[in-house]
Amino acid sequence: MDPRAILALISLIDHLALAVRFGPKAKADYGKLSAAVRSMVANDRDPTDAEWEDFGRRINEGSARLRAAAALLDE
Amino acid sequence: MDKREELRLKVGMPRTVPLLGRIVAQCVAFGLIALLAGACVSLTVAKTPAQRAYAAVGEYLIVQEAVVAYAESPAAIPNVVKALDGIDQQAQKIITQIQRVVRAPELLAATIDEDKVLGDLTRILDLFRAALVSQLIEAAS
Repeated sequence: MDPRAILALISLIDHLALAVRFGPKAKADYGKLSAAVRSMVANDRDPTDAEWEDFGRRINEGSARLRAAAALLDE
Repeated sequence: MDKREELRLKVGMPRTVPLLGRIVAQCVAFGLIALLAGACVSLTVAKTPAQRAYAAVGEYLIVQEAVVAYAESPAAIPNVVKALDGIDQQAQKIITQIQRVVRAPELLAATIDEDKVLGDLTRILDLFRAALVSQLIEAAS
């Protein structure tokens, strides 16, 4: 088999794995976000400090992982 | 050498990608577009500025997780990951500013334009989506 075809096949499997792994999680996360916002509207309240801190922590973790992945690919 | 060929060599993609590979990668890209378009709904549901900011930052978090999943996957292309990392760093600054505004409106409303910072976050989200989707499509073509 042509090495390029093997590379392309591996790339295809990688993309599929990414879609399978990420798709359902993103859908579930969006469902949670939507429910949280609807609940805030229904209860006529703004996000609490704890809710903001949870977002802040998760965003910082994501940024750190993204930076680490970029640094790793740089090497 | 045309631009497409130049880019392909730059990002290290194999020159020959089977048709099935292109179709699947484009499905992944369009699936993400559909998902991200759907996520905008929570922004329209929100009523107060703090709720809108919460929905926008929450949407950013979902997009960021997609980007991190991509960056950590073996399918990641170094130049794309670097570009996404740069956009993420800009977004972090804007999110910090938004949180300051919505968590202490009585102190900051007079000095910072809330609509402007929310507009900035929306633009960053658009940049993020465009970078992710265009690179996925480019990788597939």
